[in-house]
Amino acid sequence: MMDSKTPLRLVKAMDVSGLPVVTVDGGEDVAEIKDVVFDGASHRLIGFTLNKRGWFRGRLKSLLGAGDIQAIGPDAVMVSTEADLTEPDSAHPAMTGDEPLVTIDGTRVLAGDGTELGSVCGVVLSTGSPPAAVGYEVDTGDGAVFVPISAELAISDDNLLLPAAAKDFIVDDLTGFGAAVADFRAKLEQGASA
Amino acid sequence: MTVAMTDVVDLDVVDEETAANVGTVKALWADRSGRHISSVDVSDGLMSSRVLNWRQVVAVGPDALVTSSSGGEPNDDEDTSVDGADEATSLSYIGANVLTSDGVLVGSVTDVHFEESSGAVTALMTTEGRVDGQRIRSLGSFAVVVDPDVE
Repeated sequence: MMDSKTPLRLVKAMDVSGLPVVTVDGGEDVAEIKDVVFDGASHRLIGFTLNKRGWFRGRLKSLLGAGDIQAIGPDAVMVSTEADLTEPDSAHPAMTGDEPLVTIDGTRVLAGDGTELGSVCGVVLSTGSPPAAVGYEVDTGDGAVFVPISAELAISDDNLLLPAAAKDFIVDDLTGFGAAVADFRAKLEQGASA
Repeated sequence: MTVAMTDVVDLDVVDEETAANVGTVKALWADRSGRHISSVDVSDGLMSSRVLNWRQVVAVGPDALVTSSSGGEPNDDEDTSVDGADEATSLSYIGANVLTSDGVLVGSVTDVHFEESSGAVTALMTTEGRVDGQRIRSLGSFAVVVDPDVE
């Protein structure tokens, strides 16, 4: 298990769209990432919808659950085998539209002291196995900042309210955000054990 | 003895029993595990070719590849647990994308080094450097998948 202080390798969820899904056991591109399925209420990555590969690409019925991903890299999403793609009848209901999802894009983001930071414009994923949502990209109107996800985040139809402890871990570059998330988690663990 | 794939391509192919030239090496194919050379595509110079199983190769010299018309015995270390490992598949290494199992493209294959006797791949030469054969996970139509370099 990864140490909470180990910097995470991160990727913006929007950058995963269009990547090929490649099997480790076969070296075949069996699908292409279409859309991210993300639940804003639980701040959780559910999985991805898929397109076919090749000239006649169109939507693929199969889906890819987050737990079935071996790794997300800058050039491909890796699965162990083609059998890791899930048929709709055995997929998470949120991936087939049978369970409504809370959309978080555009939600106003407030710091713990009530200061408005901006609005959510993206989700940041860790690339490990399985990948997970670890932060939000926030459009400040003057650029973007990244805020870490934690169980202490509060969300409503109006706002995403950050815990006060997150204030020191808001950064303006994705490269440094991996270390910030690791540090934030370490701080939360220290607080829980104190 | 280790052999480079690019040194084998274009060699004369000589039949062990008749000593006749039966063609030239057009390409070498690997099995889907990516760990073994599985077959030799032999061109007869008349716009046609035939495929020999690597087990039919008797010797690889600097000037000719000597073959036997019999199939030979399976190699002891040949991985037959992977589908197609024992078939003459049409998977070519040269030019293949090299993709790590964590999803990073690390160049393309420019040459393959392998053991003459077994066909076992010992290393890939890529546009980004050498990849040890032990890191190979599979060879497919999209890429050769390798374990990440931990060094």
